[in-house]
Amino acid sequence: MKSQKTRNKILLYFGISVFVFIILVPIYWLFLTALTPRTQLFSVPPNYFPDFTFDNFINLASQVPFLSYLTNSMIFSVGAVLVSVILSFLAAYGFARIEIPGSNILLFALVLTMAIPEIVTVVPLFQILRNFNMIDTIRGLILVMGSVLIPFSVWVLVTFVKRVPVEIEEAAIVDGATLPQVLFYIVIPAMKPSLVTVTIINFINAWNNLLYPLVFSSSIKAKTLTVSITEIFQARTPYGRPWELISTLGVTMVLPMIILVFVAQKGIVSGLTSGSLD
Amino acid sequence: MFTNYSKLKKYLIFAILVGPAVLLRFSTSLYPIFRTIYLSFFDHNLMEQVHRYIGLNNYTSLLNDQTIIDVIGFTLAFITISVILQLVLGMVVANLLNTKFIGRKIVRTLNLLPWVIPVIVSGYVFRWMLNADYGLITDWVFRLSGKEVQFLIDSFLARGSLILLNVWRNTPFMAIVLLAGLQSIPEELYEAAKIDGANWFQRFLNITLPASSSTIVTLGLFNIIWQIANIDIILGLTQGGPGSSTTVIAYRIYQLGMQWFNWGRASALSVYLLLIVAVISLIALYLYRKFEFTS
Repeated sequence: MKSQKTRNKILLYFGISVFVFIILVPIYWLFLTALTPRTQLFSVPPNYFPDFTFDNFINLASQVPFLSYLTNSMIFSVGAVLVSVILSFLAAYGFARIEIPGSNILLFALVLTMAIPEIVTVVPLFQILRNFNMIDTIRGLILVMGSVLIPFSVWVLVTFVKRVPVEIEEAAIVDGATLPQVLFYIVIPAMKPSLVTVTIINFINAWNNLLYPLVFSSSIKAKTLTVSITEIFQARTPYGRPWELISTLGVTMVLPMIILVFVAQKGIVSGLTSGSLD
Repeated sequence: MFTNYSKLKKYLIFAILVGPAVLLRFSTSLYPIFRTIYLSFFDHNLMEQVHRYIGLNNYTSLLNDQTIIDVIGFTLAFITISVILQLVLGMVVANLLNTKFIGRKIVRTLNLLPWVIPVIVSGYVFRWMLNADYGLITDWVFRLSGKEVQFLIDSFLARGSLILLNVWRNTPFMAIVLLAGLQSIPEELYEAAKIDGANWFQRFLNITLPASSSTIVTLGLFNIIWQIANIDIILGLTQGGPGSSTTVIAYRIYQLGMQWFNWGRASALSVYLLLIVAVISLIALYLYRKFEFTS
């Protein structure tokens, strides 16, 4: 019996080690490549212990307008988050608190638009944005990305609004509070954790989005880091592709996400699972 | 709430709250779909400046194209194999993360990493690791087997590599959701089964699986659809090659529409993709209902 228990324990830790290894290898290799001098990069077998250098970061900054792309990525992501979270919160409150014939069907239809593949809407969206003079603008990107994030946000937030006891709001209304006051002073404070969660998940999604800026942006005005990395990838050098620059840019895109995950692990998980379990 | 409001006022408040989100979402998703269906009946090419009604020609010519048939076939195989692997491995990982061990919190956090890394970046990393000359995995395979394998040059291996990357990225997401399912199962059920002498596999088969079925189906559904629609993974790893062996429908739509500017054909293929998505959604909806009634 005792040896069985020890055996199980060894098996468990072996399984965990394999799992962690598989997850970390690509991430480790990304960081290692970014810190490897380009002269040591193309070697057979691969250089497992290169001399570390930060030169690749300096080279990257001299070859692409890194700061502009970083700023664009930031404005795009924050903008899409603001649009989606604000609109979704208001909608979720409406869906959760006001009973109107057909409102459930409307909610179902809204959530179902989550299933529409982005690629299917790209051509018409291109035409729409062109008609509104929003091709190659961050405004345009924010609008389409904000829209993509709405169904998921509403789906999650509706369940969280329903968890806030309605009696306090009703009492406040009876005492003469207006709806904006109720939202600001009662509902938003009560829902703070879930709003933060949705904000983080939406930020991750927007930050990682490639398709929209790839299709709708054509200049430094509205290109993001995700577009920039595809452009560096296209460059050819005598050695082949500039993997050290691709990895360096990759690291700068991945690092904020890693930090976010370590800061907000619990919130992300609760947000991802709440909608599906209720 | 709002029960003592007049009907008109209630409707008005509802419209103010819900209206903006619904309007923005529908105008940028439903309208484009109708527009796509409309465009699919036209020979609409941006480069050649044509816009001519051709009925169902785009649809029939797509199906007469052997490449497109292969692309549709690979898409279905890619999704089926990926999702099965993700569900099986996700269940293993979820069970692993549900057991008590030292450092569980950190491992649960690490589990999220593949999912939050931009797909285009993980695509490039895998492409670099599978590089025929200098790749990390190529080196390991060489050391273990003595063979110099060219992962992304052989079409069968390229397809396998694409599935590998897709599974690496999406399994953690499956695991998180399945873990939440596991945690909602009362501990007593497991204890009782243990006393009855059920082993790990029997407990998994008879308790874990039935109890998380509705979760599996819901998330399986959205996961399948997200994966079908994703082009970043292909843009990063293979760009559809070698030849068009790793091209999926979504990526071909991207090529048709954004690289070759043949918007008519791109739209017709989009409608085919929408039909596939609709069928998957209906099946999942049906299964979901079935599970809800039985459990």
